[in-house]
Amino acid sequence: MRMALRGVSLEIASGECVALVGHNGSGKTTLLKIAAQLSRPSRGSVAFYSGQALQESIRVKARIGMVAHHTLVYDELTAEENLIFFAKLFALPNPVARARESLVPVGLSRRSRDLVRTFSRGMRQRLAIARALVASPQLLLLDEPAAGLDPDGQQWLGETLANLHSAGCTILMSTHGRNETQASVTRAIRLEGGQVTHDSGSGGDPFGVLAHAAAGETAQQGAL
Amino acid sequence: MSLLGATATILAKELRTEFRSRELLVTAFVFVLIVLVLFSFTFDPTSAESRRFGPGLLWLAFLFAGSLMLQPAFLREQTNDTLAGLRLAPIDPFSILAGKMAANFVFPAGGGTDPASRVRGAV
Repeated sequence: MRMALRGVSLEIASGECVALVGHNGSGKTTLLKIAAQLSRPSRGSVAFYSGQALQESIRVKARIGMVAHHTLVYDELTAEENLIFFAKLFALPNPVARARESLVPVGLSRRSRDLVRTFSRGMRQRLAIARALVASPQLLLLDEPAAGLDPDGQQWLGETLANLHSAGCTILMSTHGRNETQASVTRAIRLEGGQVTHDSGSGGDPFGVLAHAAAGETAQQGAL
Repeated sequence: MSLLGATATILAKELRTEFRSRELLVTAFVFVLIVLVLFSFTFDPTSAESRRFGPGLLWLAFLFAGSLMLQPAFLREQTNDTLAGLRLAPIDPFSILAGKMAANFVFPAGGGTDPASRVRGAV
């Protein structure tokens, strides 16, 4: 059996904005899924918020928002209905108002009553981000959140992440190359073959690791 | 969110998406229709015994249709990986199953609103 991650041991402090970089198949998505409790590690453990274990997953999940590789939204529901549905599952007060508020910053207010199946890839990604943010999470897990977004969308996402980071939200995101979302990164971790090869650490220079990873990706693309 | 509340929310979502896509509803309707036709051929409508067994047989078919549609109901969640979206929510995981089971009980009812009365009419 191929191990997606090997010997990964990380401690992420509250309020950090961490970028996970590495080639395809390096284990970034698996690490995010384990952090989101969508996958269980075959060995080892995950602890949240000063030791709250997986057993308390419902309380932990209430504080986590995730943008995954897929959008996690229903094509047969409208943008507003999707957000109302998830707001209800998160037991938010006044889910209708919360859903409508969440659609404003992602620029989908005018399309709020349209079915998601009529949306473009970029609009779906914006809705996926709104879905992740609807419950005002304290921990945000993002798997290549800029995928499908146009330059304006990437800039908006970068500003949104900067605002969330300033407000104390902990962010863990996988990313490729260089883009606007990396502006507020305070720490960068590079994964290769399921192992951590570089970690800028909490006080280090994340952009050195990001630049090194981006150069590696460029070299790999050139070789292909 | 309570188990009942999450189940009701998921049930409402299932019904809303189903009445738009009509994927399972059509299957359920056809299944109930076939059962009604087959039962009407199989049993003598005037027989007192068929009147006694008919409702039970139809309820059996009704529940069987519901359980058959449970798998497609979960397969549908693979589009956009929405099952992961449900699993990320702070709800009891059983409510996902309960909501879908409740919806699958309602879909055949769309085809045969009151199975007992239908069988009385058919048998």
